[in-house]
Amino acid sequence: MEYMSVKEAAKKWGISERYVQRCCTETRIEGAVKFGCSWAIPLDAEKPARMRQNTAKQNIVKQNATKQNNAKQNNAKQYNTKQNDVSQKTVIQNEGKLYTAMPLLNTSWPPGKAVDCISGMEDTDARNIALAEYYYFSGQSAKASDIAEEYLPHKDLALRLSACWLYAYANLALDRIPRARQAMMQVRATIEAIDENTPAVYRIYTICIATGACVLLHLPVPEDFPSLRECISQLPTGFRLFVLYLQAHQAYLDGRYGVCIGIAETALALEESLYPIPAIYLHLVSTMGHINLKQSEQAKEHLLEAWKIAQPDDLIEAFGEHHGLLGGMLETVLRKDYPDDFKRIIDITYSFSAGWRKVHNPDTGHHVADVLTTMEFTVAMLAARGWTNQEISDHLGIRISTVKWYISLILDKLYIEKREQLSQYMLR
Amino acid sequence: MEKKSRRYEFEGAVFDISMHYDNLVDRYIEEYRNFNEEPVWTADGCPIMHSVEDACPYGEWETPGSCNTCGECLFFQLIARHTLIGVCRQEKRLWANKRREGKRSCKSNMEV
Repeated sequence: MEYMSVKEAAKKWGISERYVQRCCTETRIEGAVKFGCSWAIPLDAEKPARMRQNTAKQNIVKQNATKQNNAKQNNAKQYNTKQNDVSQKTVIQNEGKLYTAMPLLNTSWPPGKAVDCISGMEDTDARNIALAEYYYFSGQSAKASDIAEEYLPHKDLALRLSACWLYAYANLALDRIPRARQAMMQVRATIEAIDENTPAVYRIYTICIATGACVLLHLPVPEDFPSLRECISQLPTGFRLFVLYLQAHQAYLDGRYGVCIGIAETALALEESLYPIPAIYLHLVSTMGHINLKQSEQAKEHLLEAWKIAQPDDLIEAFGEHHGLLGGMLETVLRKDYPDDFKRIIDITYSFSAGWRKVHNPDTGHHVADVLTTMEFTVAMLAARGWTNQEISDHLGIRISTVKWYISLILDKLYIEKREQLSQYMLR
Repeated sequence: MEKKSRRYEFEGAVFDISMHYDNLVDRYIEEYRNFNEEPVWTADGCPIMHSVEDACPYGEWETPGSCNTCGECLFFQLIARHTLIGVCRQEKRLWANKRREGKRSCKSNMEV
């Protein structure tokens, strides 16, 4: 068989070399062989279709069928016993293969080994989604969005839902709101398209991801959504922990801080091995609960624990996402000892929260302030929750006159006269 | 950062508040001035203060227990719509009472 190089293939097909390499990596070019760092492509290979074009859907199905024949034997490894209980009762989709939604979130690995864990995944599609997850959770939203975009039209529901979730949140952070909305609408459409042929575990993934999108954007969960509580026991461990995080977050939003802490700490205690992504989120929601009960020491312990898990793999996105709800704990705990990481977290906070507000504010009518710096927002959140100037000063380790200076700026910027009006412009 | 100041003349008191330009809100905003350290009084002896100050023991509230700063106190009245600076009408905080208590620490512009 005669072969051509990546460069020659790119020229022949009129596409970029990078795209050809990507298609080779994703096994979308039949017969492509890797030699060292490059690829040898059969001269008669077909030009890979663009994933986002309509014709790409058929192509993906065809390619999936080929890949699945090779990967079928490995499928069992991806599911724990409980998942198999569900899948055995369901109609198998996608020629017998069931994927795990958000594979990286659903994987246990020792801190610092995220990349090894991803490269060890045998299935190409699962590995690609895991890589997109890694990019998102490490604050590289553009890369996450690029990979996720390829999977938005994918036939497999778990891969598609994962892509929608990642694409939506990555694009929030990139301030590309129409794209984020489009992905969220796609999740909603998926719920409506569920029927008796949809595998049970896929139905549950859909409910979890749709509910999660609502909770994290602080939007009301539609009344016709099934309860998460009924689904939890049927989920794989990592996803189950993440759903418990969502429940703790909802309890927090309802002002049930004790319940929030109870759910999160119990979930962490029951974790048999470390699932880094859900563990980080559970520790952060525990921090939120404790800080709202003015239990600074416990809040600090959870934040440090989250940081201990996140830092080796650079999983800093969650810290930026939750900044406003952490009540100044990032400033108190991380700013001094990890100034560079703290700065990156604050950059994430700005970019993520700007997009978040653009979806949240018009959809709920609850106008969360967008003219405050992160430090002003932190002080404002504490003041809105009834903390005195002295308490804020003690908590953040700043002078009381500085606290007053911040509060004065905040009121002025928001055109409000009284501190008690602050809560109208703060996160719940 | 470009700076400017705004002069207030209210019931016989005259004072300046510096301002800075804030890029996020795209306008000048007043900087916090500590009226406890540099007090200002009206001609009638009422203290001028900032709404963010911690409330004194003489404060009264519409909803008791809900607030802890001057801004929410019933005795506090803003001196203009665009500012957070106001005057306290609580009798116990009048200049005359303050002097009687012997707690005066700084020279006010009332004496100038």
